[in-house]
Amino acid sequence: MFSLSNKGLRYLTGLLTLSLILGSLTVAGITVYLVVLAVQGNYSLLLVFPEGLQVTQAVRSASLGSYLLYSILLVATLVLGLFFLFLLRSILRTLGEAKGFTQELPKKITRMGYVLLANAYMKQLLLVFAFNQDLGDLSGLLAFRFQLLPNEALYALLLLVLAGVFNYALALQREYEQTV
Amino acid sequence: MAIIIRLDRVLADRKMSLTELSEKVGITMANLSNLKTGKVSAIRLSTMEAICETLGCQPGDLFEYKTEE
Repeated sequence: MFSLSNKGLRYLTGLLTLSLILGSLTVAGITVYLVVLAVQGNYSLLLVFPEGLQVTQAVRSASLGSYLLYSILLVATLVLGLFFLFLLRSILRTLGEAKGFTQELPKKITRMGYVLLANAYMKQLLLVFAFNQDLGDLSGLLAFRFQLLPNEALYALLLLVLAGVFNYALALQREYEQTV
Repeated sequence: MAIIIRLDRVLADRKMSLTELSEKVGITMANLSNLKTGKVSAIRLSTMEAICETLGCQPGDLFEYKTEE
């Protein structure tokens, strides 16, 4: 059976709880910031690049409608990211409570897989959206190519396969328990 | 399920209790009780052998097949 010391699990769960709290505050802050920008008539888009890449040049949206659409998509992506962390924390808590290999585990891993899959394509959509706006001085320097299978989608598929394997293992365990 | 377990009938014929069978066969009361009430999905040949040996019966005496309507 999967074994990780209780101390280690508690430490990881605590770390994830802290991340969730900080993440929620950040998402709330970003939402307020986006609303303030919209009220001020400044339609600068907050770009989300992978691997910590940042562009200092502001990319402005042409209209309030596209700015709002982008902002909603951005907040939804961040909330999905938080939900992924929440599911991970929930799995660690289940393991910490010594419930072991339960039916809940593959269900949660499946949910994590779908959340990660949605998140991967939402990030792609965000970048497609942003790069179709007026890039200002960056125009011609930067381009974005939509990836059909981004890295995160591969990780998500891996999680879904893992959940399938766990489900099969659970079925075997159930069969074993029902054999006299 | 279409398979009916007749362990209770065989036990009654032999005038043997489930506890006694459990002690002689070496299977826990919980497992035997599950078997008697049909809450199991499979039975090992070794278990079947031990039960048949103790009760002096054939595997066919313990099970009955009825078509589901």
